[in-house]
Amino acid sequence: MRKLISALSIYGLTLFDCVAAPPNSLTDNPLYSAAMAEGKVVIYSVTSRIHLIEELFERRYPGIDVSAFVLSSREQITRLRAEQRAGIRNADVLYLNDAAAALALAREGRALENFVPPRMRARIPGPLRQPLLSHRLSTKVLLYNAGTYPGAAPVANLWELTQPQWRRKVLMVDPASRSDYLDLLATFIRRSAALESAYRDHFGRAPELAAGVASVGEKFIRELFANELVLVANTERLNAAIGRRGQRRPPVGFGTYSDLRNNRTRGWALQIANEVNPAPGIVYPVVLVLARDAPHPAAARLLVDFMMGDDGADGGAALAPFFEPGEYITRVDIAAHPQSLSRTQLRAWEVDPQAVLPLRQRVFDLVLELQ
Amino acid sequence: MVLRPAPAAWGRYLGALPTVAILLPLVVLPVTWLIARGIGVGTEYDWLEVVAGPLSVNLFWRPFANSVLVAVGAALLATLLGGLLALLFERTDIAGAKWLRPFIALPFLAPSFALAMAWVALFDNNRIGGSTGLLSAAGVTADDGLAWGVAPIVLVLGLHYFPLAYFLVAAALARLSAAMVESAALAGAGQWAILRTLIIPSLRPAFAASALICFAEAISNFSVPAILGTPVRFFTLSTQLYRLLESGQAFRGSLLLLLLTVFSLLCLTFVYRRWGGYQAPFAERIKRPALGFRLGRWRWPVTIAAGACVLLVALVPVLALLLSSLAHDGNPLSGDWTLHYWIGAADPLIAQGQKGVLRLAVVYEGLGVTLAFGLGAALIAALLALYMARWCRNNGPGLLPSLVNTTCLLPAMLPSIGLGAAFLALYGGPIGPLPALYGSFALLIMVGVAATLPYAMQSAYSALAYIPTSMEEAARVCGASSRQRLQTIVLPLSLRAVSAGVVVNFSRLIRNLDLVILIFTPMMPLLAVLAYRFSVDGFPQFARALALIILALAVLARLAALRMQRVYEERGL
Repeated sequence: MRKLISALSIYGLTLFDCVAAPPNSLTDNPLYSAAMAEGKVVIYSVTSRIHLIEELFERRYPGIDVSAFVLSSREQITRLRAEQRAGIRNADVLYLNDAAAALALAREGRALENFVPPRMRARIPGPLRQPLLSHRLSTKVLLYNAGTYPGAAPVANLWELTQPQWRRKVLMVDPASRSDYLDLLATFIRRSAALESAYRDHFGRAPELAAGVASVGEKFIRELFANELVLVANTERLNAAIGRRGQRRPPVGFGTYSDLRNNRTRGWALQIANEVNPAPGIVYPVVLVLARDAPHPAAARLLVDFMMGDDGADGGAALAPFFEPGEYITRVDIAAHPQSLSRTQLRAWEVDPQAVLPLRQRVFDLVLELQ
Repeated sequence: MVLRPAPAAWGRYLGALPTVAILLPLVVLPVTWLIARGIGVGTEYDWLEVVAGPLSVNLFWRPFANSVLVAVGAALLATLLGGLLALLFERTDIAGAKWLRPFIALPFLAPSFALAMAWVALFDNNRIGGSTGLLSAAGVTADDGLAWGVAPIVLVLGLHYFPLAYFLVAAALARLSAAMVESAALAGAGQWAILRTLIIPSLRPAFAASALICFAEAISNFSVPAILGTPVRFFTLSTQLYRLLESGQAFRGSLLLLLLTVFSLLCLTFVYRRWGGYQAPFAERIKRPALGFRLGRWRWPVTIAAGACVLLVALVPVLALLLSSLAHDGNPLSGDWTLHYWIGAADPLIAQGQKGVLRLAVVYEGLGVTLAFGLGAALIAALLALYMARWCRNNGPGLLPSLVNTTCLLPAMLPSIGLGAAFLALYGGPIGPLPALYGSFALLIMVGVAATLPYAMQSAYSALAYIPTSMEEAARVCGASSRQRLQTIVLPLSLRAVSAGVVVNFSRLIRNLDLVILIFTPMMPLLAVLAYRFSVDGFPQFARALALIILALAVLARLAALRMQRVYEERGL
């Protein structure tokens, strides 16, 4: 009965928009009191920055314990599936960058539930809040070492990466283990037309497709691998390999634009090759959704609401860990970080989760074949 | 006083019911599942596609060849090194053997992933980026081939398993009849002649057994190729299997799983049939014959070489892990020391705001779960094994007892990662009225008990050997029920021997990453998996700190076991 009441009160709350209550009336916030009664919220997150959120949230809302688990998107989905199949309710919130898989899961109807904090409805463009709420946009773009190449990127056209001067000098995280990189490859295939014209620009002739090669995008992927593309275990390694200062011939590679934030502390010189043709890579949504039948529904909503930031110009402390050069908060009222390219300046291709989903298996097989 | 009649045949079968109830879910079903899945029962996969399709080379054949290559290399290295050291330390007048012997077990006590991490800490070259290793920092950049891939995997596995070979050969040496050697000496045979014509030939079975055992262990090892092979796209059957399972391609993993199982099964079954098994010599103390081979003027050179080898293999990994967990960017030579990775507070500038391991709640939770898992599973396995071993003994030689014995040994012959996969698939979801065990502690305990049963059975038998059957007979004649006899005779008398076994199995369990890598959930953190995850996610210092904690636990457990055994022996039991 108590559960029913608390469940009812939550749905009531979201209707009446009480979530936006100013912080000084914290105790008056009924969502908070419902969340207090639950006492806990469990979030699976792709980024370990969630631990910073954990501390902020617990300070802001005492009495609610955040359990944050850093898991890759694929693990989050595998675990959630297995948990739900086993009838175990554990996760409340999922924060993952595999929008396509989340979408597939949501379509199955049982696993996920979208929650858009009412005060955010007007501030987030439609496609970024439905069918799933996107928290920010992240990137997989071509990075290079600006210490060694201070003027401009050493690569002007992606096709150069398939040539001998970049043999063994192009890095990527193993796409078989990371959905964002799978999507990068899938997007190469989807953008075959753009790659084709870039090929003409670079080589001055039309690309020829060998038997069994279905598209120019696939040709590009095959030639990248043929040029001894190096697959590393994680972006940490990738960044260090590309960015470490003082290298004579550093490699280039596809990494996360916002990792430039670590340049100063880690002694890196990472820079984005934004001008490369036809595009430096992809920009894709990182989604923030509830597990269906979340065991702590009020606390889950409170956490999502908190993570979307406050009403200040930069979204306040909760968005601070994500308000970095190269990360794009989905809220229209928050501009990109002053030190980064604006969203319109960034030339990366936008990933369409619905479109890449059917390509996934084919790309995975391609990677297996080429590895 | 009435003498009870011996139970009728049907009574015997009835009495076997509890044993069957233990073995069915823990061993029979998982093994059946592994084989059934492997040959494609109940799955939609086409195994022709796996072995002959366009992807087959990368999907299957190359990992297969890599596995065999790695396992053969590791088995050879382990057997040669272990055998040679056993001859030196157990049969010659080498100096300081007493002091050096304890270090021999260390590489096997260390989790294999800890050794792999230590290798990375030492040899990481900047080829695939990230922090560089100690050597690289010292100005000696390791070659690609030495840093990653087949060579380091063979070396690390060989060094990890050589204590196994050592103890097998040492046990065989101890069994060697001293009288035979002495009479050969009396008959005028020189030392070399005795070694060549008597000792070495009689050790052949021990060498062969160690080679096969190390092969079977090495081919199913997941942790080492995962850490040292994956970064350069060097996949073995076990890492490829993990990759497929984790990326939702389980249907393609089935055949890989079956092959791993078949390999281990064949090798170890052969060992058991041919040589009656290896009697977990690792847990026993070895008696040494007084007669030693005199090294003469080679004594000191050999001592220095062998001692350096043992100490190097035992201590360098520990030092490498320790030093690199204390340095910013994992490079102690930079002189930039920090305790941050152990006790630091959250700092957004370091390791993405990750606190030091001793401040992470999840580490303490993981420690608790790890201890509970290791002790719980080892204890339950010991009790179940004691019950079954006693049942087998009381029901004399026959088809059923020998069937029970064989079944109990099976888990030792399966790859740990396969055992984990089988338990997850079988008990992860609900079965009829039984609840789903996914993510539960019960599932961990079950797989831990299953994996421990073979070793627990061995210690149960050796414990029972000290309780004469006549004691139980007498009690039975006096009218004591089976349960009373168990409570008043068997349990109290076998307690010590069994508890030493529990401690040994505890340390075996807590360092076995392969067993739990698939079963792990964030709600049931285990130190081994946490360490592995830190290493994969690019936080090597945290991984190394955790690996050290596990190593310390395993060493403590071993010391405790040895001590318990010594007390036990001194009391003349």
